[in-house]
Amino acid sequence: MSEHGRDPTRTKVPSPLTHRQSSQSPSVEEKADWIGRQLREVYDETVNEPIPDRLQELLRKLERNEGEG
Amino acid sequence: MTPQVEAVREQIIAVIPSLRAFARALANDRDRADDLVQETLLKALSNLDRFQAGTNIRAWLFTILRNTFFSELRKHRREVADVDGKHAAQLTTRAVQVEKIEFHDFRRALTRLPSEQREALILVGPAGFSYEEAAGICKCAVGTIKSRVNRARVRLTQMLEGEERPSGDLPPKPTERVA
Repeated sequence: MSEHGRDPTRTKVPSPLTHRQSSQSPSVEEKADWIGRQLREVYDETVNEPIPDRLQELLRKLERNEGEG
Repeated sequence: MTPQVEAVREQIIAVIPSLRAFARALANDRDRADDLVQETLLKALSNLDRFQAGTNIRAWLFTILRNTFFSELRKHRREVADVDGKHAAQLTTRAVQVEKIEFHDFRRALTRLPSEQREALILVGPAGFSYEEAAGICKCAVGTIKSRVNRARVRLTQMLEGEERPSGDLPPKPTERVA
């Protein structure tokens, strides 16, 4: 009886029509592309680094200057 | 600051991580790369009015960065050539001669590529530009980008395979005894 007054939560069932297949798996070519993967690794290593202080400092300065102007 | 300018500024900030990665690949040096990014940001922010809304802001920033890099490089090359033309020629020869790189040392191999080839590889590779966009950024023909990418791949493969000797590579012969 405890649950009686509660409206059962209506969970949305994904329609089989809108349900996508996991589409972003790498293609065969991509898997075979060793150079491509190495390049991405090198590139992403920098992308994932935090933005260094001096660049953040620059942005803060510009923000202040332009905010006043 | 108008809301439009503010919006563009925010987009610029969002591009900084990939600008840094592109700069690092071009300059092969962390500090020099961040100098490049810093210069790029200053140029971009002081030329915001020239940025045309609707155009690709990433491509615009990448263009500023590579133009800054290559104009410095040209200046440097001129200076070296002015001091001693022979010296510059020797440098080039030596760079070509260093071909054998430790197996799997991809990073080192990448730094040995001509900057233009490295640039093309990064732009159409991890930076995610199309060949057309890359050509626009480098102000060259699409075919030029394609051939740079191809040459870069061939060269990288050669360098990386240079050290990978077949395991059965001329084992020392045991001294043959004549009976």
